[in-house]
Amino acid sequence: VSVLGFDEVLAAARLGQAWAFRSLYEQYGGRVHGYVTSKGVPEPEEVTNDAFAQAFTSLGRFTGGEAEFRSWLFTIAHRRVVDAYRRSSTRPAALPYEPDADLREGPSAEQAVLDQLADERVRALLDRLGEDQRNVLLLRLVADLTVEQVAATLGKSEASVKALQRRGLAALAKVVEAEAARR
Amino acid sequence: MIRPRNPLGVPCDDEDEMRTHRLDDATAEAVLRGVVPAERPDLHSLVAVTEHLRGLHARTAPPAPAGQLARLLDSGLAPIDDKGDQLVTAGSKARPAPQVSGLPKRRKNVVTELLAGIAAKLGAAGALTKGAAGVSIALASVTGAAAADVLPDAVQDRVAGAVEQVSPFDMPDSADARPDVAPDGAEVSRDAQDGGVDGRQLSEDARSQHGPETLPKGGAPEDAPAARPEQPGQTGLDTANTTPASPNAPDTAPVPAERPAPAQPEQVPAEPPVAPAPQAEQRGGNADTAPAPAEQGTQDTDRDSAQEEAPATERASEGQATGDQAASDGQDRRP
Repeated sequence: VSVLGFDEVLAAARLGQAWAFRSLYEQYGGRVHGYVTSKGVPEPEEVTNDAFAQAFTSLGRFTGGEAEFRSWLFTIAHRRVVDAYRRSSTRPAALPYEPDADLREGPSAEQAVLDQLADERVRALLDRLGEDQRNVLLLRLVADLTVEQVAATLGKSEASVKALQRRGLAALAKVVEAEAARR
Repeated sequence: MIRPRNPLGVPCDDEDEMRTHRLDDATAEAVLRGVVPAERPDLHSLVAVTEHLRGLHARTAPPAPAGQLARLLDSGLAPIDDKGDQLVTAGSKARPAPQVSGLPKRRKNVVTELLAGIAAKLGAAGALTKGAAGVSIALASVTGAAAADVLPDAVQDRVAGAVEQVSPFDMPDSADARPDVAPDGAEVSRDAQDGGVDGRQLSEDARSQHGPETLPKGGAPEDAPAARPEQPGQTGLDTANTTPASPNAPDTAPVPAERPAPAQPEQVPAEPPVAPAPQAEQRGGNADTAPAPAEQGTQDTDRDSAQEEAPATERASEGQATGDQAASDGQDRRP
C-alpha cells in the first residue's frame, strides 16, 4: 500500500529521518546491489552499504527528483565500485565461463540457454564485453537508467553511450549465439 | 611492403559479425526494452539475456545493513546546516546546540513541504487503500514512524486513526496523555490488579486526613465554634456568653427549627468494582522495527573518485543524534 510519494520520502530523508532512509534503501537496495554484484567486485555487500551510507550522508547537497536521485545514487555506486577495484587492484573476480566444462544439458541449444540462464552465467557473458560496453548495458538494464542518465553517470556523451550500447548488444548477441551453437 | 592481415579470399570474422550482428539505435532500444524486432528474430536469445539482466534487481535482496548504514537506518542522521554539511561529524562528541529560532529557513521550507505533501496525500487517500501514487513507498515505513510517535501531531493523528480503523493496533496520537500529565501507569496497573478502587476506603482516608479530629489545635475551625454546630453540648448561646457582649446575651437560646434529616449516604457496594484489565503497560510498546545496527564496518578512506559526494562520510559515533530534534523529543516523550 502506498501512501507517500517519492518527493515526500526524499524530503524526510534530507532531514535525516531514519524511516525515510529505510524506505529508500528498501526501494533501491536490490537494484544497486544487483548492479554492484554484476560488476563483480569482491565484496558487493560492503560496496552497496558504503554507497548508500555515502548517499544518505550527502543528501543535503542533492537537488532533484526521482530520476535525478536514481542517477545520482548509481553514480555514487559506480564510483564505489571503481574504488573497490582500486583497493583490490584486480579485475572482476567472476570466473570466466567455460562452455566445455559446463556439463548441463537441455532439450535444445537455444532452450538450454534460455532455461539455464543463471546470474553467474549472464555475468560471465558480460565479462566478454569491453568495460565501457558492460557498464552501459548494466546501467541501462539493471539500474534502469536512460541514455542521458548513463551519460551523466559515466561522464560520457549521449552519442558515445548510444554507440557503446549498440556495440555492446551486438557483441553480446554474438556471444549468446556462439553459446547456443556450442550446445 | 604492405602485408595483409588476412589471407585473400578468407572472410574476416569481423566482417561476418558486422553483417549479422549489426544493430541500429532503434533496434538496440527495442532490445533494451525487451522487444524482439519483427525483422530480427535472431535476437530472441539476446532479448532473453537482457530481460534476465533487467529482472536481476527483483531477484536481488538488499544486503543486510552494516556499519554506518545500519546506524543511519536505525537512528537517522544528525541535522545538516544550510550548506548541506552535517552539524555532527564523525568522531566528534559535540552535538548541535539547540536552535533558538527553530530550524533554518531552508529546512523549514523542506519541513513545510513535507508536511503539506503528507497531509495532502493522507487526506486524499482517506484510507490506506490508496493506490500507488508516483513512487511506491512501503506503508510499514510510515506506520513505523507513526508508531514511534515521531511524526508531527497532525500527521500522527491521521496515520494513527487510519491504522486503528483497519487494524487492532492502538497507535499513539496527540489525544493520548503525555507522561507529564498522565498518571503513573504502573500505579494504575497495580490498583487495577488489587481489585480496583474502593470508594468507602477513599472516603475514610479523606476523613481521617482532613476531618476535625486531625485539625491542628488552636486553628481557626476550633476557635470558631459557631461554625461547628454539630459539636455536642455547645450552642451559639454558650459561645455568646464567652464574649465581651455576654451581658446582652439572652438567657435562653431560641429553639432551632427542625433541621432536615441528612441525606442517606450512598450505598457502597460490598465488593469493589472489577477494574478493566490494565492496558497502560501495554501501551507505548510500539517500538520501531528498524533493524538493529550491526557491528562497525571498516573505515574507508579512498575517496579520490567521489568528488561529488559529501566530505562528511566518516563514521559517526555510536549514539549519534537523530536528524530531527523534534522527532527526538517526540521519542523521548513516549512512556
